[in-house]
Amino acid sequence: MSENSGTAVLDPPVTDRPPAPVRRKRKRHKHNLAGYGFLAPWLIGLFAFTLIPMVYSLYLSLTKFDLLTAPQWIGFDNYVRLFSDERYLQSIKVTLLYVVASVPLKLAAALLVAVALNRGLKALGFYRATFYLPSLLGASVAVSVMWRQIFSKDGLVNQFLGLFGVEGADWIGDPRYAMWTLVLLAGWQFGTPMLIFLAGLKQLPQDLYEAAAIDGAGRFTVFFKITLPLLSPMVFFNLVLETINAFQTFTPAYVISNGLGGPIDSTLLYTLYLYLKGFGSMQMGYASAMAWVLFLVIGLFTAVYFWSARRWVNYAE
Amino acid sequence: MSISRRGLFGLAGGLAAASVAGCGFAPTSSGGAANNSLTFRWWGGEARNKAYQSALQIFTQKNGTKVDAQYSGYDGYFNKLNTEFAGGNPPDLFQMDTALVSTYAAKGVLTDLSQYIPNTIHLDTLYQAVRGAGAVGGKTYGVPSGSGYAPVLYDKTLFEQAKIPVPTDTWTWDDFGRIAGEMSKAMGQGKYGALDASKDDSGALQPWLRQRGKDLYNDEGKLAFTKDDLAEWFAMWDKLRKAGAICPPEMLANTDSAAGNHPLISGNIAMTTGWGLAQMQPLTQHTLDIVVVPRGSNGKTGQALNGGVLLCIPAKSKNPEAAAKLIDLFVSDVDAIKAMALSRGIPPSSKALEALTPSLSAADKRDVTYSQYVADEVAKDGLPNAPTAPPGYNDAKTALDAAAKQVAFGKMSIPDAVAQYFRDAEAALQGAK
Repeated sequence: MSENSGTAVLDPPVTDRPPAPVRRKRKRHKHNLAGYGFLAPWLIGLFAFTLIPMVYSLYLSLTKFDLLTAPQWIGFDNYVRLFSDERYLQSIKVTLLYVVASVPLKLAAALLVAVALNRGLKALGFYRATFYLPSLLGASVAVSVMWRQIFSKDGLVNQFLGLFGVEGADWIGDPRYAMWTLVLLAGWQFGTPMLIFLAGLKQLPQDLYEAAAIDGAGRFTVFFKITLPLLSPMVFFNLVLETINAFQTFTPAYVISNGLGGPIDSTLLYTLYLYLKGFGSMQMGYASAMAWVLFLVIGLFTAVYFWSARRWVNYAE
Repeated sequence: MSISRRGLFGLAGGLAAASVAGCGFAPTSSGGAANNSLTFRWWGGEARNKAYQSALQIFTQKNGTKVDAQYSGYDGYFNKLNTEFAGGNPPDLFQMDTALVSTYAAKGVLTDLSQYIPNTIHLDTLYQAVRGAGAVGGKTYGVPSGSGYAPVLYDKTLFEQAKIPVPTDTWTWDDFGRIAGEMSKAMGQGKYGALDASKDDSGALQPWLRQRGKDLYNDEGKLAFTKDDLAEWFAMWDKLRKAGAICPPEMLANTDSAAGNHPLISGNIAMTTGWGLAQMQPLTQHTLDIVVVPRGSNGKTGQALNGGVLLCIPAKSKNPEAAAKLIDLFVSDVDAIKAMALSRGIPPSSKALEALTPSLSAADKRDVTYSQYVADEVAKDGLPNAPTAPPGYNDAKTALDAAAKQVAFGKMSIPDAVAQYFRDAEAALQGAK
């Protein structure tokens, strides 16, 4: 297709228009082509590994699919069944608890450490790297295995408590505590939001701080009246990202509960149940429906965040 | 401050896309099998991997067929297999869990091996009781590669330290409770005589039911016991739990794998039902031993022979003839049997055992004599063979685990847990049809 025909349709045939802008437009179009060329590897990846599988999973969510035989169309049955599945409702409860507890904990830890590191430490690079390390190990199996050892009945935590004559509980085996070991693990991996906070703190305008110092504002006043409001875009950004991550958490629950979500489903995170249904029980249609509900819920949370952001996020624009 | 709204969202979008993309499936590549080669997939520990590979070498020498060996641990084995079945590209021969064979057979993805019997696969050397291990609806979909009866494992050293006699092969469930209670007392605080086995379907509940003339499942793939049976079962364990004879439920978190933190290895319990003597013994200084599962008051063992692992050929196998020959090698080739010895479980044929017995170590002989003893005792039971685990078995098993733990943690009354189990298990068995 020639470029002329494309622009001819788009541009109304106005005669008094000088020819220069048209040429510029064409040029820009060429620039775009080159841009798409450079984007191609990513675009191919996006279509092949994200969009097409997503559309396919939407189709699967409307079928009964056991992985081994062809999917059978059953309409919205999977979605209807979800809400009478007690384990599904339990997994929602567990996941919401996890999100509500771990995200604020992680962000608070990240902000605290970032503010502490921003006080002009000499070996900032070293500390920054050290605090980021747990997040580099991130969702790795090794960290989860270590966590399992630390919090087991004969683990490090209980040996430490034993020094003070306190007999610790079986943190992993007791349904009252197992979830909180997961929350702690998430809180410990605060490296990524910390780096983002730190970058934000470095860019805060110093004149406001000078003015506050002259007015004799205390440390807390400065933090809550200047630092936090100026940092609110970072808080917002981290909040959105970490909420999405928390909803999708899988590995720690899988490893700590030996892949079962136990004890008695107390660590049955949403994606873990999805995995158990899809691959363990071979109900991939049902699991796909679960994935789409999760997608909508995450979308809803994000939308609410963006809606509320108008009230509390303070952009420099 | 120079953070713009647009810049921030751009970054967020990029990161979100990256994290989503990370969840995508990567296509699995598998070399197309030429006529003179086949792919063989199994799960197993180091011992089994070595044993299988030495058998495969013998196969290649004798038949000239190259075997592409693909092995891994059990974790994730079926996930990968299912993905390959879904993609229409399964291995030519693979190892199957006996309990899952009917699930796969019902989907029509396995080859009926009857066409290769008796000309290629010589089943007649197998024990009568295991020949049906891979049979579903009158057709043979799998051939067992190892077999056995699930025992009770115990820590002999702990019994000696406590000066309490070890369990004998004639013990009953009453003896089990009494001995567990005595051991709990002798071992001291935080340690228990036995692991809670109320959730163990094939190792504990099934023999208990069969002793009473029932079973887990019937031939139609439905539950073959009543709510009263299960309530009595839970009540028996609840009594032991409250008496401190068996472990509290928190300890069950570490029992799902035969790894170093299993309470039997860490010395926190003295007895447990289930497999794993060969895997667990190297992990502890203590001497472990096995004894038959407690008998019913009528003296019956109620044990059902477990076909162990099966070998199956997918319907889409590219080289089914060679795969059938390889199955026969495992069953009847004396050289291969000697090369593998007991590292794949007790070979399920008298021919194999005769070939092996002269060269066995003392511990291995214990395994063999034990399984022969139990085989004789089971014959005395005069009970029919246990039906093959039905489609949906895996979910029914999960339902028992869940109900038993609800009772153990005191979260549910026994009648409620029984009702929950019957609801979930029946739905799982029904839904898998």
